[in-house]
Amino acid sequence: MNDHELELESEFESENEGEGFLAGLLGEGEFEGHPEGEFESEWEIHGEGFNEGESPLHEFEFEGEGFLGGLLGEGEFEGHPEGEFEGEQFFGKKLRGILGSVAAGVKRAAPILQKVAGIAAPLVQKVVSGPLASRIAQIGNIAGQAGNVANSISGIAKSFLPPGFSFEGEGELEFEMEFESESEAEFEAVMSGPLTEQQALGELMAAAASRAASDMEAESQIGAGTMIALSAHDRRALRAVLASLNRGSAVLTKLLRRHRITAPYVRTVPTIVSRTAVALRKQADAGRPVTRQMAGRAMALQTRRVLGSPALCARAVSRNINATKAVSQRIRRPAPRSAYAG
Amino acid sequence: MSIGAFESELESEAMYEAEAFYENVATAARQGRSYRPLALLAMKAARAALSQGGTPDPEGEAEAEQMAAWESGGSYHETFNPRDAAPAAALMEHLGHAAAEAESNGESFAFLAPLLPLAAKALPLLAKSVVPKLLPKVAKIVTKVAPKLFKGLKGVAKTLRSNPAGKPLVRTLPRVMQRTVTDIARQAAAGQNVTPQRAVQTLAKQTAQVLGNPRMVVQCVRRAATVDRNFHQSMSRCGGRPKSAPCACSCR
Repeated sequence: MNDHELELESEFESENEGEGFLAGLLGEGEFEGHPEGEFESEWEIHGEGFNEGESPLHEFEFEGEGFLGGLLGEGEFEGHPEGEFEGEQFFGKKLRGILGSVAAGVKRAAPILQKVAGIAAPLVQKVVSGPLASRIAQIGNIAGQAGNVANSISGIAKSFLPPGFSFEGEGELEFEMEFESESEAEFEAVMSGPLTEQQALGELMAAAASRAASDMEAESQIGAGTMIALSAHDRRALRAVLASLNRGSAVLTKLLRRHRITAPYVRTVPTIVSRTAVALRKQADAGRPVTRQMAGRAMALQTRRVLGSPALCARAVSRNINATKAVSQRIRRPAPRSAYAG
Repeated sequence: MSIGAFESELESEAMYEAEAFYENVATAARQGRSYRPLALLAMKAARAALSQGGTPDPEGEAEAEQMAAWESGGSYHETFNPRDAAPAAALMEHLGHAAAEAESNGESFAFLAPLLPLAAKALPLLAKSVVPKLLPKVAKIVTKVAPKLFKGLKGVAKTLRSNPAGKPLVRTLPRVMQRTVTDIARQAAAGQNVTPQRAVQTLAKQTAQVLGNPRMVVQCVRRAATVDRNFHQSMSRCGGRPKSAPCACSCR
C-alpha cells in the first residue's frame, strides 16, 4: 500500500470518528498537498470534476435519445452500415472503423479506467464473495451523489475492505495462479466469437443500463442483461453463484455509472461476466465446486483485466455498440397494436 | 432409481400438472365461466404482492434517502420516444417468457426486474389517454414507487413459481405490470397522489384481475408466445445467428 492510500485510509478513519462518513466523502481539498494524488490531478484536467467535465468518451455518449434510440447512437457512427451479430471477424472494415473511434476514447480515459479497475476489482470480489452487496450499493449511492470519483469509489472500497488490504499488486498473483489454466484464447473466443441473439440482447440491455435514468433501472437492466447473455448451460453450471455474480455486476455498474466519464464503460460488464463464466465453467468442468469466493476472485480478475487494458476495453465496447446497433434496428419493428392495448 | 431419473420424473409430473391446469383454464375461458383454483391462486398472488410490497426494508433508511434523491428530480432525465414503446413492450413479453422458463427463482427475478422500467418506456403505447406532456411526471412517479412495486412483483412471481401449475402463468406478469403502470399513469393524470402503498395496492388489484380471469390468462399466455416468437424471428432475421451456432435462449 502506498503512502497516498495510507493517508486516504487514515483520513477516512478520522472522518468516521468525527464528522461522519458522508462528510468525509465530500471533503473538498482533502487531497491537497498529496504528491501522489493522481486522482486529483486527473480531475483537474477535466475541470470541476466529472459531472461538469467533458467525457473523453463523448463519441459514444448518446444525447437525449430514448431506450433504443440512444443505443443506436444515430449520427455518431454515421457511415457505418448496420452490424451483424456474428462478431468481429464478420464486421471487417466497419468494425475496425468503430473500434478505431472507440479506441481513441478509451486511450484518453485509460489512466482513469486503470485506477477505477484497481479499485473496483477488490470491491467486486468482496461483494461477490460476501453478503454486503446491498449495503455497499447504498453507501455508494450516497457517496456518489456527494463527492468526486476519487473520494467516492476509493472511499467506499476502503470502508469495506480489511485493514491493510492493498488495491494493487497483492492477490493478483494468486488469482492468476488459480485461473492460469484458462488461456487467453478461451477468453478471446468470448470477445470475438459469434454472438447469439441472446448475447446481443444482453449487450443491448447493458447499453441501456449505461444510460438509464436511475441506478435502480440500470441495475435491473444489467442484471437481466447479464443473465440473458449467459447460455442456459452456463446458467445451469453456475446456478450456485448466479445471484452473487448478479450482485457483482450491479455494484460494478453502480460504480461505473457514478461519473459521466466512466458511465459508458457499463457496456463492458457483459464481457466481464462472460469471461468470468468461462473461467468458472472451466473450474466446474474440472470437477472443482464453484464457490462464491472463487466467483469473486474470478470476477475481480476479469474486471481488472478488461477495465485495466485499453485494448480489451475498446474491443468490449465496440462489440457492444455493434450488437446494440444491430439488435435495436431489428426489434424496432412495431408490434401489432391490438397486442398491447391496455 | 438414480437422482437424475427421479428429478426428470418429478419434472414431467409437474409439466403434466401444469398442462392439465392450463387445459382447465382454457375450457373455463371458452365457456365464459370462472375457475375456482385459478381464482384462489390469483388471490394468493395478490396477497403476496401486498405483503411483500408493504414490507419495510431492513435498510429502510438508505432506501428513504434514495427515494428522496429521486424525488428531488435533480438527475432525472427521462425522455419518451414513441418509437421505443413497441420494442419495449415486446421485450417485456420476451423477459416474461424467459422468467417463466427460468430454472430458479433468482434467475426468474433477474428477468422480471426490468419489467417496470420497460413498462415506463412503453407508456406512450399503453396509456394513450394520458397527455404526452404528463408522461415525464408519470415516469417520475413510477420511479419513485419502483422499489415497492418490484418487491410486490417478486412476491407474485414467487407465489406463482412455488406452484407447478402456476409456473407458466408467470408469462402474464408483463401484462400485469403494463396494466399497473397504465393505472398509475391514469391516477397521476387525474391529479391523485400516488404513494408507494397505493402503487402496491394497484399492483395487487391488477394481479387479481388478470390472474383471476381465465379468458385474460389464456389471452396473455397465447399473446406472450406469439410476441416472443415474433421477437425471436425479428432478432434472427438477416442471418443474425449463424445456422451452425446453437441458440443460447432457454425459452425456445
